[in-house]
Amino acid sequence: MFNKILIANRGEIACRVMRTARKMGIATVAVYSDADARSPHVEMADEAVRLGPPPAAESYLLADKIIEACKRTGADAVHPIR
Amino acid sequence: MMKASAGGGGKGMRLAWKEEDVRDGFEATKREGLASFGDDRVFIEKFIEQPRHIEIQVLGDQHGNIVYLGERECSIQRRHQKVVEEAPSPFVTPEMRRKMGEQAVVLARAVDYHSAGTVELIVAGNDPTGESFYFLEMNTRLQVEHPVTEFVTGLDLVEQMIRVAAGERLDFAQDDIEMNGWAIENRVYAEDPYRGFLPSIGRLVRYNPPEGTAQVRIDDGVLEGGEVSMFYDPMIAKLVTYGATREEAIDLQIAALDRFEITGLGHNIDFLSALMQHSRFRSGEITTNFIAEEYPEGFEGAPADQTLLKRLAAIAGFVATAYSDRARRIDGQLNGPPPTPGDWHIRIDDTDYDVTVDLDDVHVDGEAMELSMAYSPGDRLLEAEFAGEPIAVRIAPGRYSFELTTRGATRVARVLPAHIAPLAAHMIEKEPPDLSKLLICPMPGLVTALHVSEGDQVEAGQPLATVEAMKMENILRAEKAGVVTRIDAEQGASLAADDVIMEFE
Repeated sequence: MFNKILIANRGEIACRVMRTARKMGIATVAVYSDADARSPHVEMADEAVRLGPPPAAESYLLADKIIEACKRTGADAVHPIR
Repeated sequence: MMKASAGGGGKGMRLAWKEEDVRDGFEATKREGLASFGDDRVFIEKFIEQPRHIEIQVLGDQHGNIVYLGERECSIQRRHQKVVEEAPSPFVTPEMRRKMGEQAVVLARAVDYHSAGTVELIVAGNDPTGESFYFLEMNTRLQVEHPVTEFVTGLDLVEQMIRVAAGERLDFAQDDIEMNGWAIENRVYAEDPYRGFLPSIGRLVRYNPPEGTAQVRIDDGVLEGGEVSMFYDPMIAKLVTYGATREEAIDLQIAALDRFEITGLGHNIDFLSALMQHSRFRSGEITTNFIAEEYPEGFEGAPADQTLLKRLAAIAGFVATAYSDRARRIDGQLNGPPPTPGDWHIRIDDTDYDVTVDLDDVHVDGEAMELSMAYSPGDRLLEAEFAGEPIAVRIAPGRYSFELTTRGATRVARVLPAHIAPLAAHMIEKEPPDLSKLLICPMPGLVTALHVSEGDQVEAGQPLATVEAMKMENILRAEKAGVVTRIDAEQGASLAADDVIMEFE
């Protein structure tokens, strides 16, 4: 089983995934844009990585940045964006 | 169905029920296409009557095991955006579920899919055999509406996704899966149903969802004080209820929506409650056209019956008494404490009610209301019981009035002591501003262009200004001919809803 997963999403669905990960004893990594820096999904995660400015095309949708965040935090899986 | 390939929005579209219809219609469609769009190419496709959106949840592991977890019905949509989802579907029979499920599994197997996924189908509601279902698309992800499936199957889909991704085998087979009870999900959106569902952004000044229980689940990712920004999806929260029957799940929705407090921006809670109370929704006779058919003129709040209005009058009287009782307790008042009036004259929607409050005894027009409630001045949500029947009402005090929100509508109760009310007839009516001479910004947004200047003569339908909101450009047009006398907003200005953009003669 994974030790740490990165949740490549925001809002309610990121919180939803983290609830289950926590229940399973898996550490969580959140990603966020500047607009979400103080959002519940960032608070809830064990670690959080900033991706970029608010527009999704400059933050949440940047696959390279997400992979970089995985490497930096040592996450061994990603829960994908929808 | 035949339609001109260049047409759109039902233009140049023809239905054929028998051969002659096709022979005549095909040529006519070609001619119309050529005349209207300069293109005589024609599409022919099956016309789905009473279309319903039903989808199958599938789940597969990396060892070739794939199961289906029943269906969800998501027919209640607005502009192809899902609003209400449920599991199971009131239309699907066990036989149909098996057929759809098995085909969805075949599809998932064909692409060697492993994880949670959804096969979306369009189903003809006029074919009771349930044979008429057609593939739309497969979504290879966890969907917004997954909680309804979790309620009826008892599975945690996220846990299953994680286990499958880690290489584990599904520890159950198709025969082990049972669907029990009924689950309904409502999507709470930051959009204003009273303003044509325009998107709404801003701060969640108040955000208090109802309490979660074994039957009520709230999935959200916001907090009071947080902001719904223009950058992302306008969904604020998902409210999911679970009951033994569809009716129970619906009634739990109504009760939970009454207890859902959001202020600071427009939201669709009243609209969701109205949907839940709608007799056609409750009958299960739904199609993807439901909202367009049932609310062609837009939404103006859920209707209320006389019983509900009388109960609201009783509540307003009780609350008014609580406020005047508090006023009486302030010490050191000149002439001593004012008396607490127990007789009230209350007006809701142009109907007057005589309400008397004597401790816990509340009468409306002489009728004993069997009301049991508690209220402290400042409470924003009150729980009351009428003859044992519970109701939750959100309340906001105004000037000699209370705004009471429950069962999908907000009503203003004007409250006056009975001895003062007759004098109100002598008050001069306040003239509402003449909005027909103003161009009002319909939503918060940015003025990206002004198409006219002061002194211009404009004709009906002429573009006046462009306002960008939620990444959408909205062109505001003149409703009638007139002369622009004054422009109040400048290009690049950020406006709130109801700000004046320009004025006319």
